[in-house]
Amino acid sequence: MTILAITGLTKRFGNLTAVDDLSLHIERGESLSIIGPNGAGKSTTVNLITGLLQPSAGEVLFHGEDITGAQPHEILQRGLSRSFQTASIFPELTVEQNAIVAALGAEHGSFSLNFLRRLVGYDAVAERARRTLEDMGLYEQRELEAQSLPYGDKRRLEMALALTSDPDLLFLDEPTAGMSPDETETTVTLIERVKQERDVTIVLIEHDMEIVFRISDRIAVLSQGAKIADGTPAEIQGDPTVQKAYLGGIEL
Amino acid sequence: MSGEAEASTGQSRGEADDLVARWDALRRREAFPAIAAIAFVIVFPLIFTNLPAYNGYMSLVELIYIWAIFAIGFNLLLGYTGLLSFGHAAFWGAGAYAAGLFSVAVSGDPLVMVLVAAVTAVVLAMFLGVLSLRRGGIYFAILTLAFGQMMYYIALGPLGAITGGEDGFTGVTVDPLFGVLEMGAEFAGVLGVLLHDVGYVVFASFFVLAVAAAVRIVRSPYGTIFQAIAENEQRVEFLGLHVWRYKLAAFVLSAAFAGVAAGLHTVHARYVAIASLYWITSGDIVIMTVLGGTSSVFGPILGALAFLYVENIVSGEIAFWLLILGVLFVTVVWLFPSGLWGVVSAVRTAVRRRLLEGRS
Repeated sequence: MTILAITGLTKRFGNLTAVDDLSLHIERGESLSIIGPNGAGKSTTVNLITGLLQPSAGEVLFHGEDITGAQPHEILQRGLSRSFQTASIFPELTVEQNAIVAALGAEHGSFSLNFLRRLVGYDAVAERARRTLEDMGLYEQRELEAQSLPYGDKRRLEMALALTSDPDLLFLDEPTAGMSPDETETTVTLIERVKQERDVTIVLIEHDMEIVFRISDRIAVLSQGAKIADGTPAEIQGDPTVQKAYLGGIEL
Repeated sequence: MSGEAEASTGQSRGEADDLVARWDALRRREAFPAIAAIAFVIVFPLIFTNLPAYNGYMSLVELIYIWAIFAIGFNLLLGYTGLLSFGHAAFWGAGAYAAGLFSVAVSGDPLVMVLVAAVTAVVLAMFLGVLSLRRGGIYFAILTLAFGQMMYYIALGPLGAITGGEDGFTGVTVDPLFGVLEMGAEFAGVLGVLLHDVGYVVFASFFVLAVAAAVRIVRSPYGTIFQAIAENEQRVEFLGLHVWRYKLAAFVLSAAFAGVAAGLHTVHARYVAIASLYWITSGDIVIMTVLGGTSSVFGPILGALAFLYVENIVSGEIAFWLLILGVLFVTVVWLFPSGLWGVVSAVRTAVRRRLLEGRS
């Protein structure tokens, strides 16, 4: 079953076409990775799908419904979540409060007039926050300010925030960028476990080929804003256009 | 050190730990801030009106509560949500005029006047909020400033016939509370020493209510969402929360506090000055809030107190009181970026450390 269908997605910044007539479908439960050299338009694509940027043309269907150009909070409320490349967290809130913000978005919708409701004793929210933190191995650090966490933990908190709403589809934008090999290993294991336990379709935007080939069923390759290949890891590895795009990238 | 001395140190440390733990538990109780505020309104006038030099007077105490309500609400927007409005005079002034006009046209019941002022401020804030919150940061500050000044000129010119223009609105009539209790009716005996008159009880009650309401808001989902918006607005949006609506909510809530305070001010002064809509009023509330400290509900109260003390008492003795205020502001903000309340917090932390270290 197709969970996300993108047709003709295009984004132009002035004369530059960052994403060029991109079509892509994502099946429920599959492990798709989107790869490509720097500047290929991977992050722009995610930004277009999740509502951070407005597409110049094209259509995005999520669960068969049109979400093109919808606001980010609407898209999340429908069950599509994302993480960011940099640890986009709330640095001066505690780890627990970080998760609580995410849990509030999940529990009471995009807006609620509950400004006189006690947060203490709002059990559904506390429970949801606790579960994510436990899943991500951050529960012990819940009382620390988020900014005091080591880099790898910050990135995990970032992922935790994206997961708290129990999305159907989750985009992870380079979740292991800048991590040490150990942290990378932990994170990849976590991603695989979360996928099993939470029944969430995860799309990985990655640079690290080793990870991509290890955990993907299918890989889409972008270059200069266009999709140049789409297939199983074996197919992609043998694809001459992909090799050319990547080798070209390295030579530059 | 002898064994005996060690034992006694250990014991005193145990007691101190216990004391600190109990104090922490007490402070976390929801009712604590309200009870502290009640204690404050009973004790504060006794101290304030009997200071050795430069002592205050009852009317100023009431004025401090009124401005503190305004500042507490303003801080929900500035300190918690991270939005600097430079146009809150619009809500203060509109609320004050609405209460004044209502007292003449319909009813001079003090509570109804306050209600009318609050509703006016809230409705206006919904309108101005929708217009101003389209942009963030400095644009928001300038838009609110512009709308505030617009209100000022409208009250001065086109609506001059109703507002009294440059002379202000003078016809305010305040009826007795519930139709029977004159605002100036003094209490007898101990009650008189502690609570003075009906007016004082009204102003002090609203102050306590404002503290309790602000604490409740800060401890509701809104409190955490506001702080999250201040830190990383985009992330909040991507967690499924409608950031714009929460900002509007913070704006409207702060205006509600401003409206209540403005209504009380009209009841207190029985006059509305055109200056209540002027940008300097917007600036005053920013200064009070920042001076007191933006990181808690209580900071702005201290800020209002210090500001009004310098403005009303020190100014009587020293002609260049504005300079004193400026120096105070710069010193506090420079040495204690978290304001006067930051000084209190620092002292509290130091005392706690002393207690926990025991006598060793």
